[in-house]
Amino acid sequence: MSALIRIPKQCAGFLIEQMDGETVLLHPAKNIIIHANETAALIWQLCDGNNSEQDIVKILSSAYPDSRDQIAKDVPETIQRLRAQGALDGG
Amino acid sequence: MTADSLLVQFAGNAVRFNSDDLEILKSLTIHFKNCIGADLPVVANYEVSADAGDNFSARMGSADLFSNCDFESALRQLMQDALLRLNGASKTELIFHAAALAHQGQAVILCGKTASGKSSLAAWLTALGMAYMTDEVISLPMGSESVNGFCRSIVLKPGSSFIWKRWLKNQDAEGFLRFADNSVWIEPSLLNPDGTKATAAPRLIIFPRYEPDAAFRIERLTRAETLFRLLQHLVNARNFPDYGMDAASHLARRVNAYTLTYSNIETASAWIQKTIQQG
Repeated sequence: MSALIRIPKQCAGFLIEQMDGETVLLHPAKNIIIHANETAALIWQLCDGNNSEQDIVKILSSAYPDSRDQIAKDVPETIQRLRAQGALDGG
Repeated sequence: MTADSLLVQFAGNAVRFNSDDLEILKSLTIHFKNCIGADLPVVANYEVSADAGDNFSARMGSADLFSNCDFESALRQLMQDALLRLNGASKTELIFHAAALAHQGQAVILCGKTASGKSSLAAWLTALGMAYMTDEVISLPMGSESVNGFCRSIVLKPGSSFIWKRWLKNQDAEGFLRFADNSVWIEPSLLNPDGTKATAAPRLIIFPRYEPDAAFRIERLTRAETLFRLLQHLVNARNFPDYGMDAASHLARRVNAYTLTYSNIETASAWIQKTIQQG
C-alpha cells in the first residue's frame, strides 16, 4: 500500500507582507493574523498545491544539505501548524 | 462649546454631548479637556438628561443609549461609547489600542489590550515627567510620520491605586474623580502640570505585559513580529482596503519594538525612560 501523499496548498485571500525574510499573513475575511519566521515563511511559499510534504523536504534539503535532519523534522511540524492556523488547505 | 454642549474629537471625527445637567457636562469637559474639537464631522450626538432624583439617561437620535443610571455609570458609559464611535468612524487614520507618551517630540507607544498595564505605565511615566498623549488609543493618519493620542483623562483601575496615592498631590482637585469601586479618572496635568502632547513621532514601540511576581524581561522584536503584534491591536482595520497592512508595516519597519514583561512598575518605567532618552 502506498503512503498517503499530502499536498498542502496556501489558502486564498491572504494579504502578505515580507520583512527581513519573515512573513506576516493577514486574512481579513477570516480575521486571521499569522507570523511566519524565516523557516515557516519559506515552507509556506513552497506550499503551492503542486509540492507534497516530501517534495518540500527534498527541495529544502538540497538547498541546505547540512540541515537535512532538522528540515525533515521542521517541514511536517510547520505544515501542521500553518494548517491549524488556517493558512493551508489540502493534505 | 456652548453653555450646554461639548464637542470631543479624535481621528478626524467628533462626538457632541448635549445636556441640561451642568454637573455631568462639567465632568466631561474636565476629563476630555485635551480632546475638545472644532469643525469636524459629528458622528454621534448624545442628549443627556437627569431627573430630579439624579438618574441619568442618554439618547442618540431616537435610540436610548442608557436610562436610570447614576452619575458614575453615566459618565463611564458616555466615555466608552464616544470612544467606540470615534474609533469606528475613522476612515483616514489607523487606530491602535495603545497608550503613548512623548519625550522631546518623540513618542513611546505602549501597545496592549486591557490589563496589560499600559494605563498604569502611562500614569507613572507622566508623573516622572514625560508628556501624556493617551492611555487608550493612538491614531496614525495615512501617510503621516506622526501619531496622535486620544488625550482623555487617565483611567486607573482599583488595583492601580498605589499610583495616585504615590504621585497625586491634591486629591481634592476637580480633575481627580474617584469612583465607588476605587477606580479613578485623573486629568493628566495633576500628575505633570505641563505634561500633555497631542502629536509626536514614534520612536519606540513596547508591548507591555504585567505579570505579578514576574522577573523583568525585555525582548527585541523583529520587524515581522512587530507588524504581527501591531495588526492584533489595530481597531479599525475594516475601514481600509488593505486592512491597514501597508501603513502598519511602514510603522513596523521604522520603529524599534520590544516586549516588556514586568511586575515592578518602577523598573519598567526606568527602562522606558532610559531607552527613549538615549535617542
